[in-house]
Amino acid sequence: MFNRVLIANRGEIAARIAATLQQMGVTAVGVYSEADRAAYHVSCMDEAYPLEGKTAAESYLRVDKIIDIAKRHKIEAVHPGYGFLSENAAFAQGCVDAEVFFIGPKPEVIRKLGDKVNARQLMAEAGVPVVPGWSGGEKDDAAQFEREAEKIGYPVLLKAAAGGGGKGMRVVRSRREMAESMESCRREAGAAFGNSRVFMEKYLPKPRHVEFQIFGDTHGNAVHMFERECSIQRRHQKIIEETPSPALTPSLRDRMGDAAVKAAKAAGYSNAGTVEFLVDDAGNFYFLEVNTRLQVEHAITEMTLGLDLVRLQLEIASGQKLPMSQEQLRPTGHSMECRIYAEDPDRQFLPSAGVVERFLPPVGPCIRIDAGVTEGSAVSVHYDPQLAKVIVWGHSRNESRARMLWALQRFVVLGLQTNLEFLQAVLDHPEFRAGRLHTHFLEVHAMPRADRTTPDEALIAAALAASNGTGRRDAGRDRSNGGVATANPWQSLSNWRSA
Amino acid sequence: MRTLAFTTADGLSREISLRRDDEGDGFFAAKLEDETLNLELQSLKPGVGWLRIHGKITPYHAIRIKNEWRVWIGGRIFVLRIADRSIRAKPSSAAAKGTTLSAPMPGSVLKILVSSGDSFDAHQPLIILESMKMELTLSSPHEGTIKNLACAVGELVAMGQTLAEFESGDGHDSPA
Repeated sequence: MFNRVLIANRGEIAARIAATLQQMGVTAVGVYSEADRAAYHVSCMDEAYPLEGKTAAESYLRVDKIIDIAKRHKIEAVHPGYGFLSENAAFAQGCVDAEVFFIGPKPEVIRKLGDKVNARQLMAEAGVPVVPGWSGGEKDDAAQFEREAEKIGYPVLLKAAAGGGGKGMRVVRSRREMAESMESCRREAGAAFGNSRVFMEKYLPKPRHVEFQIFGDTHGNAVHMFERECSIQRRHQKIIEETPSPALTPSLRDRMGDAAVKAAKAAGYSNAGTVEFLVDDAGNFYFLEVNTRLQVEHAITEMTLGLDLVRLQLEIASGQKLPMSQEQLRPTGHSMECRIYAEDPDRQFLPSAGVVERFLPPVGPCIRIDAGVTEGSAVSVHYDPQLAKVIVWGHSRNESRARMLWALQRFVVLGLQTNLEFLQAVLDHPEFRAGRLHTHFLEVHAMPRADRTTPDEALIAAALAASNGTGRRDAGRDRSNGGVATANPWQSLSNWRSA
Repeated sequence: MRTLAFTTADGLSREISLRRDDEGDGFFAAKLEDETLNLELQSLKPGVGWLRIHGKITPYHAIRIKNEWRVWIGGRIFVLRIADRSIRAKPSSAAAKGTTLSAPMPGSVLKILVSSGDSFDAHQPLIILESMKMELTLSSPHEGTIKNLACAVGELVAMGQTLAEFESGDGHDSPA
């Protein structure tokens, strides 16, 4: 096993990976941009080294800087997390060239699957069903896309060939929107992935997003670790995930699991990956893409299988065999994840920057919090505004849904706008309760607005807080030094009475 | 007894006065308009604690940001603006409201698609902002003419900052 592992990431995933490394007795080495000098993830590391530069492109996306740090600080393996360089074949190759293990699949596999256009072709050849679409021509001009879109039928979805995580995606509903959408999609793709090539797929009405966790080792073995349903999305980004999917029958699960393993083997896959599918009402499924990394929502699979996927990633990367067969993988119960973002659901989920003035995650049975911030953290405009993930487990879907609702109702975040209240409304929606999910759920169903009447309790709490006191006679007295009054906040409240 | 006045998020003016009861530590009488509530209120440090009214427990967290109190209760946040009777809200004229395009989120200006003096159609993209790797295209629901561009490509802008001023063909409704 490795002794020193570099985590080439930030936020909650960097903190989560560090936890496993430290639990395994491995030194967790972090990196941080100029904007992240005081970031929470740095405090979770055993060692950390600065990457100059504020923006992602100047810091976490700089292959040269990260490999240089790895070499200078005797790093044996690099964990890329998700996002940033996690699906960058050149980075994986750079690690290999520098004789540092890359914790993920081989560079050529990342390259093959990372190009969504190639991946589609590979899967179609392996007999895995794909979404009708067009892979782009020699040069991506709008006129050609318009012609092909007419054949497929509007609306169509423009996607970044190098994309993932919902970035660089545009729905095009008519010919008129094509040119501007393509330009915008290219720019976003270029900024996020360093590759501006786009392709097009038919925009399916009301599909479910169901993905399978796969794991392969370097000895030719591959298994799937069952599904995650991630249909609740905004801006094409998942916000609620669960396993098992309420839509899968045992036979559909078997067929999709087989297809996922087939996909893994066709690609010569090793380490953790995810095969994403769309599932329609009739139970047809279509291959979407393979994410060649650990997913944000990996924790729900950990909950139902009792595994630490980061630990498994390290074992596989160091050359060990998969420690289990497909038959030995038996999920138990139901798990759900909610992603907590600094954003305003009332204003098209626009990011909200600011300081996390108060941060108190819920504590209780079968509740796991993966956080990327702490009290006092600043959320800047430079990076993804994800604050934390709440992950729960229950015997049944209903039990974990109720547990999640309980947890969200007790999660205190003050200082910036979050989606915590919005998530509660989604969990309580009759269609969500019934498990009737699809990727346009949030566009189709308006969440009922909570009663905005301010309760008396809020006024009372504010009135006491405004007096800068606790209302106690002994407040401010330091009991350890014989009850000598220090600052007495009570005085400010007593002024009210005399006024 | 001093009375505190707050304006709630739904625009209501609410008044409250809090008086300590003789019953002991943490016992209060709260007067809200015509109603008086006897309650227990335990707080171990300012801005954190719980209330007990007729046996019902309500934990709370409260912080002050500028002239607002944000109170967390039961998974929801209530914003209470400290009412200052000496300052009256500036009357907003309908004309002034419709003539600026301001940043709906903090971020950087990625692209400016119009120039000063240009006229534009309803829903025509005017400015593209970028924040946290996401793009947001700003347009106006009405046609109009750009009077002045108040931002430059690459500039970091704060939420609410004016990006452009224009004359609206319709004269109402600010752009979104």
